[in-house]
Amino acid sequence: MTLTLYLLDPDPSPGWIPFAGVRPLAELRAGAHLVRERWETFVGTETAEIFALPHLAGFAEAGVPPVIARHAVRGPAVIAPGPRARAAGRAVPARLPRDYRRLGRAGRRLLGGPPARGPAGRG
Amino acid sequence: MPAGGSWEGPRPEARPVEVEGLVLHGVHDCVRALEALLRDDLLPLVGDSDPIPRGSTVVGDAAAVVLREAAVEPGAVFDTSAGPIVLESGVEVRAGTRLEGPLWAGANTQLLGGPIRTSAIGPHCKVRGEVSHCVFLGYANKAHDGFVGHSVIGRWVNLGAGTITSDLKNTYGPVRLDAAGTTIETGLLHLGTLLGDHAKTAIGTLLGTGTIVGAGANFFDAVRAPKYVAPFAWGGTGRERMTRDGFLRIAERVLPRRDVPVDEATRASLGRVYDWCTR
Repeated sequence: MTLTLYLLDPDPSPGWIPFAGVRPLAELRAGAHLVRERWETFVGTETAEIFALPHLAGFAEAGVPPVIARHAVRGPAVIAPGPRARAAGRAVPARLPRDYRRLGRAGRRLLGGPPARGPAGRG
Repeated sequence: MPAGGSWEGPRPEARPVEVEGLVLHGVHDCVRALEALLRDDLLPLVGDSDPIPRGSTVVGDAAAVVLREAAVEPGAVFDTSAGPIVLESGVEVRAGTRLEGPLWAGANTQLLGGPIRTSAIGPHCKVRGEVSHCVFLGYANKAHDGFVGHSVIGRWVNLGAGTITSDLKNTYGPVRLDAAGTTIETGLLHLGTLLGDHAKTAIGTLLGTGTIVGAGANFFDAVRAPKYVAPFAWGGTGRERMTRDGFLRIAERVLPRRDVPVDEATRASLGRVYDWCTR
């Protein structure tokens, strides 16, 4: 099953100053990777769209997926809360070779289970 | 969401799904995430490296130095005692730079000297030490001396020579932020400055523990910045603001210096950010 990944930026509470409303919060860096990259690695696909504040629609920065105001989507999809870093992403940046599993600690699962058990967002 | 389902927004009655990971409560948690994630992020990259150039000094395990088409001048020191050092394509390391892992430098970043440790430095940055526990989002300049620690540096930030952060209170107490009038208790013992995209500081700027410099702010004419500098502030008085046209004019000068064109879409996008921040 091919999943579509959407990242949902949180509301711009004071904690996200000075980046709230300035850039998609999924484009913040957590560890070596952007929050977006961590979710992409976890879900196993690139981000289709980032849902952010309406004025950030059309955010013009190379490499950033389309940024758009939140809209209805149809499954199968993962809607991930953007600025949350997933531990599974620790060891699995998307550009790594696909045999990254062997690089994990013994007995530790680096990728999540099937999508139903993954970060299905709050929807 | 399963096939055929539809989603229109977060629903309070939705069934929560547990995900092992780290929750970021705000920008300051990007500093916390360095401690939690950076070393483990880099460990899987170890083992796939160009040879370490002659003239480099390695303290610790040389296998934990990962060079991916990076150019390293003789006289650089790599200390991997606490974690790997990963330098991506096009990274330049000048003589006299002491790199201390865990450390990641994104493509085309220039590491110009001094001690640089435990940081994730995005692409196309210019960084000179002393830098410790910092997150650079990319395309930022900290090209001169001055300690910057436990800080988050947005895109297109320029720190003037001698800009110095404090990242530890003299009381050794937890650092508090003033986010546009809202007090945030971070619980962090070490926290420097959070600088929004396009923020700039003059030479010799002193940034106290837990300072926020808003996006696009241009701080000068005062040595010590207040705890909170409003977005697009102009100068050090806290009363003036740069104009929209002025901001766009600066961006049109700055971005092309890194081969990033400022087309109409970029202008419009930056303009909307200015409008939102100054509404």
